[in-house]
Amino acid sequence: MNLGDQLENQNPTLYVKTAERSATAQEYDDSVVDEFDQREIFDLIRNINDPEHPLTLEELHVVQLDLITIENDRNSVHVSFTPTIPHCSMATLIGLSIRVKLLRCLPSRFKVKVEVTPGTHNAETQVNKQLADKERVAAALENSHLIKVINQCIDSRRRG
Amino acid sequence: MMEIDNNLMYLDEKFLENVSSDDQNYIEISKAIAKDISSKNFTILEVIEKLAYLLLNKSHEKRDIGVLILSETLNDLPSATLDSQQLLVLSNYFCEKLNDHHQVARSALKGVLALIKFSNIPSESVVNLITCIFNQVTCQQQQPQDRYVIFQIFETVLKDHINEVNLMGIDFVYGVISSIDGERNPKNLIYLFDWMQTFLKIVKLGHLTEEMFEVLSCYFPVDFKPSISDKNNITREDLAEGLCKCLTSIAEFGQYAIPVTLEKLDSSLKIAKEDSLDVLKIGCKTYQTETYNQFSIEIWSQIQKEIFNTSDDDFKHKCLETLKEIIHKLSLGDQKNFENSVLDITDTLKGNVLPDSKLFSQSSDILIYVARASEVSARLVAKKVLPLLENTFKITNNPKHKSVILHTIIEFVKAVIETNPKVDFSSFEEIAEVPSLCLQATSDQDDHIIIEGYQGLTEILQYLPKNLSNIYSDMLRQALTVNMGQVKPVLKESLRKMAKICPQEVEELILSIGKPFDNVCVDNYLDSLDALIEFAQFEEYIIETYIHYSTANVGSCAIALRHLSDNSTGRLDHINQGLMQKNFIETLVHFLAQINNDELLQKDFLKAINEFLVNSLKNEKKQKAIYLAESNKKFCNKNIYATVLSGLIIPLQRETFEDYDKIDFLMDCSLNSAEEFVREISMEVIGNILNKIDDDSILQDKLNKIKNFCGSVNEHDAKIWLASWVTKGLMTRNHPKALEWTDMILNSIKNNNVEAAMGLGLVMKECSVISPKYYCKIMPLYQQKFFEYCTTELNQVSDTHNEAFLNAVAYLFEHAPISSKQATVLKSNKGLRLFFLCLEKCTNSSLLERLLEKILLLIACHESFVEDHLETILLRILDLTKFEPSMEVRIKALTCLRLVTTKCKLYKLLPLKNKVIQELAICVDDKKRFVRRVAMECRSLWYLLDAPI
Repeated sequence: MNLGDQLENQNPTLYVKTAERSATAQEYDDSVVDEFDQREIFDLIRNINDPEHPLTLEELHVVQLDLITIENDRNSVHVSFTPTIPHCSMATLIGLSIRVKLLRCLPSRFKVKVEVTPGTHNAETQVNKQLADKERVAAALENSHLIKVINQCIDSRRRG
Repeated sequence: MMEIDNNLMYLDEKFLENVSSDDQNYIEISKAIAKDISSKNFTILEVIEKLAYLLLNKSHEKRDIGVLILSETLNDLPSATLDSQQLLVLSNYFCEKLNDHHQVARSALKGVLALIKFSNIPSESVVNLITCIFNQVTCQQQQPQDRYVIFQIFETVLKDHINEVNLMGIDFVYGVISSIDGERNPKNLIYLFDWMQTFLKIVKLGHLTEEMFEVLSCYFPVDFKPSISDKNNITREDLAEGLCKCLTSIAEFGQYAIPVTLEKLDSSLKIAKEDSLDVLKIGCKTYQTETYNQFSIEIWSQIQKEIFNTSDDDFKHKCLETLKEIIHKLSLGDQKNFENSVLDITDTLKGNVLPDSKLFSQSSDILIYVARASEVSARLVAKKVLPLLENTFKITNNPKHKSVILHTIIEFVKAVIETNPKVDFSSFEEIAEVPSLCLQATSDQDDHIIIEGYQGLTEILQYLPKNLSNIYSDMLRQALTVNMGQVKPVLKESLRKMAKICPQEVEELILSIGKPFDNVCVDNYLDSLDALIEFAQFEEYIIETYIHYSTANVGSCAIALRHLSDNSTGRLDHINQGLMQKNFIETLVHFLAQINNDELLQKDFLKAINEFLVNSLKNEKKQKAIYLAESNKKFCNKNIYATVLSGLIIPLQRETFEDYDKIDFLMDCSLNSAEEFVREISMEVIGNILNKIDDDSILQDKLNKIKNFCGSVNEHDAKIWLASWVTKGLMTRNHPKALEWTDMILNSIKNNNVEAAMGLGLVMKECSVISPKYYCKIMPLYQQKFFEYCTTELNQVSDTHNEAFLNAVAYLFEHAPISSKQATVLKSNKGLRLFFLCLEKCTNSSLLERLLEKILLLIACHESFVEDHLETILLRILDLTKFEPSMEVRIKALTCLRLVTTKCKLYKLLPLKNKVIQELAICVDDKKRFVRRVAMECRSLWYLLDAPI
């Protein structure tokens, strides 16, 4: 993947970060079971770095809280992400980063699906197909350069 | 070391033949010559004749050494040793030498510097030398250190021979410009920038002003990164500061500097922007007002753009400060022009001054700073903006907006006051209404608006008209005795400021409040009085108030003592002296002695009595006299007596306490009192006393007594507590009996007494009652000794499932000192065995939590120790990440796992990576979200351990 010298989107629009999730009394009660919810998934991926800018996916509105669906009983998580520009060549990379982060952090019982928000990218179907194809994802993760970039994106130690 | 004799022998040819410029011999020779010349052993002429071999040598190296010796000699000679004729000849000679081989020329420069320093050097020689340097030495071709010499020559000439400089006129300027042009060495530049400031101020630049500016401005903005090996310690900031001072040292530079700074302000480089702002700001001191006027529109639009676009608060502040200075500068020029500029700015921005406008904060900041610049600008801006803000304040219903607007209004009024302290509010229509606006705000529903209201009133206190000021006083009077929550600090500040400006009124105000009865009022009133504590004239009143409430009734006494015992505000330090003079303790104890109702006694009250006595007596010289007088009074209530007694005993110095009978009473209280606080404090005092008895026989006697007493009581837990405090008192002073008492506790533990386990923690833990603050002897390393003794004993316990045993280990480790380098925990294998055993088998959640906290500390400070036992520790922590009964334990365990990823060495961690990731897969599905959050983060980090990045 060639990141090139020129930024594709030189002047992305920035959005405000959401505040930290406030804790509820229920969450402090050891006997209550907290189900996984949208916000929890969002908190996991909102701080992933954009491969192009020193900004998080949340600040660029690539990931948004209401574009995440989760069904605890069916063990499924669905994340739609929105590339900042329709011809963004990083779309697959961003999708992969989200996938890898979720794979590492979520319990294995969940089936994770990461897709481009419909109508926001030129090569939507191709990107979705790539991200859905387990073997292609596995192959991509074998690529040492690619995994390096993905690790950089999801490395929380680099932030702040 | 070379031998130097006294009769010029050292200057014979053979000797000179061997001198080279590489070693430092020539310096010694020069020193000897200088010494001989000054003591008139021979003349300079004779020396030169002797040196002729070198000076006239065909080899330039020899000539170089000759000139070098001569230069050094001149440098070492006192001023009066050479007459002007000799100096004339010498300077002519050096002029010649400047034209010689370049190596000779650089040595000659040193000679020129030495010659110039002679105060009696003829004027023509100076001019001649300088002209020769200008004409024959191309500065840029020299090495940095030689260029430094040239600059030193210029500086000396400017300092010592100003007449010659004036004589040379523009030629000197031209010469300097050509010499310094293109200098790149940071050390030389720092020197130059420093000298240039003087040069520019003294010398007229004439038609070369622009050239000089060009030469200097090519460095702007300074772009310099010192290399790590650079030993000069020159930073970019040093250079930038020097350059900025040069650029702003004369008025004539203004017309050139401002366009340059505006251009750089537009660049995207932060340092360029900051340096430009500095020049614009500092330039205000020297540049002409006319120059700023000429560029005012460009400056304004540029700075406005920066303020609107930046998200960096420091930079914004810098822009605003610069803007303020420039507006102030403009205010010194043509008034009409200035007023128009300010009005223009105001008109442009006032549309933004609505709280929902995107640029509200930036625009209001700009206007506030513009207003602060001068009296006229303050008036103009206030006239335009305040009516607008006041209207919006009245119309808007959003409390957040209201408080922001009020804050902004106050800032404008502050600017008006700041620029014209004598402003008359009544004749200034636009601000006349502000006081009543603030008063209204103080009765609002929203706390933020109330705070702004009070803050506003505090700012304009001395400008309040009489009627409003009366209303305000009334309001304060009411507010001081009620609980105002977060408004209280503002109120107190207001009262403080009022006391500063008009103490008389405050005195009337507090006197008119009288002495409220209601306990809530008393509490708030005493709190408010803190605002006045720094004023000497209110001290008497405050002390009286405290005495009054302390002896009025049990409720108010409790409140007053609580205020007095909380010394976080330094309250007691202020008035303790006054209280002592009034025999407050005597009065207080007298009052307390008469209380005879157990139901009124609350733990808080007893604690306040104790803390107050301890705090006020600990540095009191007459503590013994007070103790003797008060401890023998007759008390109606035993609990109060025990509390007072402990308050009197704890702060006593060593050897002061001899009243040993009191121990019996305290012992009785410690086991039999119904009040928990009294039981605790009595035991603590016994520990404190035992630590301070220096006579061993008395100590033995008392210990036996306590032991017998303990034996006669059935109350098992209380006995163990008493024994623990006795142990603590003895252990801290390293008394041999301490171990005997420790054994008592350990035996109880072996019999599964859980309370006894806590006793070990008590001995280990630092506490204030037995501390050097109260004259107790605390041996360094007592904790280590106790820890080691206990771990050795506990290691022999066979029943390791015993709960008391596990708790004992946990308590020991919880308080074990690990901060020092000789941390015992890390060295003792016995300790480690117990530690791991405890981690594995302990089921008490709160203990486990504290143990894990200890491990966190260990990981943070002693990572190498953790690395050595990594597998053992991690495997146990991994088990705890699934500890069902407590989520806190699970979270702490995960936090430990997270911390090791950043602290421990990668190669130590890697063998465990798969195991940890596998185990964490269970934790990320924990039922609690908090646990999952840490687990997910932790798992992510373990994945990234050796991942390529």
